[in-house]
Amino acid sequence: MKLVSLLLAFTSASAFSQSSNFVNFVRQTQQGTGVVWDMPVAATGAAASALALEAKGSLFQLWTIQQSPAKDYLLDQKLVGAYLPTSDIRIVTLDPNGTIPRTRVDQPFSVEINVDGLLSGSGLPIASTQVLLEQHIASYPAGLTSLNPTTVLSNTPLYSSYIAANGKTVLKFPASSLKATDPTKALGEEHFAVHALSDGTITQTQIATGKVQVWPVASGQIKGIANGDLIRFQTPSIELILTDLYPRSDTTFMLYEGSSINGVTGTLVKAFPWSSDTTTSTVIPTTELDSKFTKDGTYTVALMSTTVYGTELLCPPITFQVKRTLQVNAMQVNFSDNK
Amino acid sequence: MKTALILCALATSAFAGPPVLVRITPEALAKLQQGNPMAQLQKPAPSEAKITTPENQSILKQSMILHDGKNWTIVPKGAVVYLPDALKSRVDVKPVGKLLTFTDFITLNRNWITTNDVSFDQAAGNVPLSAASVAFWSKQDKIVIAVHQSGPISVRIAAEPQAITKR
Repeated sequence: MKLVSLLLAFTSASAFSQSSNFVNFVRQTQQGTGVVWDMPVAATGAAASALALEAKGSLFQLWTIQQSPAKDYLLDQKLVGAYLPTSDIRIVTLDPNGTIPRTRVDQPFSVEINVDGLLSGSGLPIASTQVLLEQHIASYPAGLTSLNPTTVLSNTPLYSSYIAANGKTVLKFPASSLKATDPTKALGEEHFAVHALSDGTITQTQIATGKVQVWPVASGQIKGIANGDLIRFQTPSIELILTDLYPRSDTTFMLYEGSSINGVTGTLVKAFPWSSDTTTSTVIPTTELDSKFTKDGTYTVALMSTTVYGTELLCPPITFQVKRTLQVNAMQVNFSDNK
Repeated sequence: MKTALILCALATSAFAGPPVLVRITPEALAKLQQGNPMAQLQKPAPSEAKITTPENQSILKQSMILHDGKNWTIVPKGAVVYLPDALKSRVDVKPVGKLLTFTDFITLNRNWITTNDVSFDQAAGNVPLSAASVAFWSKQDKIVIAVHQSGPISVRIAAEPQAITKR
C-alpha cells in the first residue's frame, strides 16, 4: 500500500472552535478497513496523517465538542484516497469581513473549484474521469445563524453537475439562489460540494466542500412624517424602523434642502453604526430633526445604509415643507369714541 | 488652522459623495437569480447522481468516553484494548466536567491508564498484537489504550493462527 503524506489543515472553520468551551478533534476513518484514528491536534495548524491512505479512501473529519452540556459539531469533512480525485472549493464574495465567506442575497459571488487527479482516455471507469458538483441552499430557521453542514448536504441539491476536467472551474453567480416569499429577505447558507463518483467500494464520497453565509437586504421606515407634510411650529416625533441591517454597516438619517438627495450635501441627523457577525433590527426615536432646519423651504429626509456594497436607501425619501416665519396681516382698528 | 479648514471641508462634502442607490426590488432580484450558472450546466441523470453523506453522525456516539471524576476525553470505539473490572466505572460514562484532549487526559491519569503502540496493520487486524504485550496488560491493573503516533486508534483483534496438529 502506498503511503501518502497528507497535510491536513484544520483551521478554525467556525466561531465554535474559537471558544475555550470547545475542544477540537480530527478523526480519520479508513474506508477499507474501518480503522479509526484520532489525530493529536493543536487548536490551529496542520499535521501529517500517520496512516496510509487506502485505495478506498480515508475520511477526515474535523469535529468540535462543546464541554457543557456535551454536544458535538461536525465542522468539516473530506474524503481522500490514493486513487481518488482531489478537489478544493473557494468562495469569493465582495465582503472581505467575517470568519466565513459572507454575502448579501442580491450581490454577486464566485465559486472556484479546483479538481485534480481525473483521468482521461477510453475504457476508464466513470469514477476516475469525472466528479459531481452540487449546490445546496438552506434558510436559517428563526433565531438561528448557523446550520449543521451534514444536514444541509444530505438534502436534495438545488443543482448538480459533472466536472470532467482537471484544473480550475469558476462559476459566477449574479446573486444568491436562496428562496423566500420576498427574495430580498432571504437568509441562510449556500453549500457547494464535490463528490467522487461511487464505484461501489467507498462509503463516503465527499472530497471538497465550501459554504457562504447569505444575509438579507436591509429595509427601513420613517414614521411620523409623510410626503407633502407642512411643518409649522412643532416637528412631529419621528421613529426610524431599521430592519436587517448588514453585519458591517453605517446607517444614517439625513436631511437635504430641496427635493433631491443625490449630488447635494446633506446634514446628518442620526447615525447607527453596526459591526457584528449577524444582521440586526431596531427602532430609533429621533428628536434631532427640529434643530437642523436653517430656514423655511422644501426639505427631504432619507434613511440610508452604507455597506461594502455602497450606500443604499432603506425606503423612499420623504419631501415636506417647513414654514415657520410669522406673517402678520394688517388689521384695521377703529379707535372711535363711543361715549 | 489650514488643516482644520481642510478637515472641515472634507467632513462637509463627505455626505454628498457617492451616489445613493435605490434598494433592489423583489422582482429585480428574482430576475437576477435566474442567472444561476449551475442551471446552465448539464444535469446528471437521476440514477447517476446518487451520493452518500450519512446524516446524524456523532463523534460522541462513535467513541468511548473516559472519565476521571473531574475531566473526560474520547477515544474511538475499539481503542480500549484492556479494561480491568475495577476500572469499568471510568469508561462509557456520562460526559460531565472538563473535556480534555486525549494527550492532556492521559498525562493527568497515568496512574490508571497506559497506552500500547500498535502498527496500522495490527489496528486493521492483518497482524496479531504481540503476545507478550497482551500478556503484560493484565499485570498492570490499568486501562490499556491502543495508540498510533500518540493518537488513540481502534483495533481489530486478529485471529490467532490455527495450530497445526497431527491426526
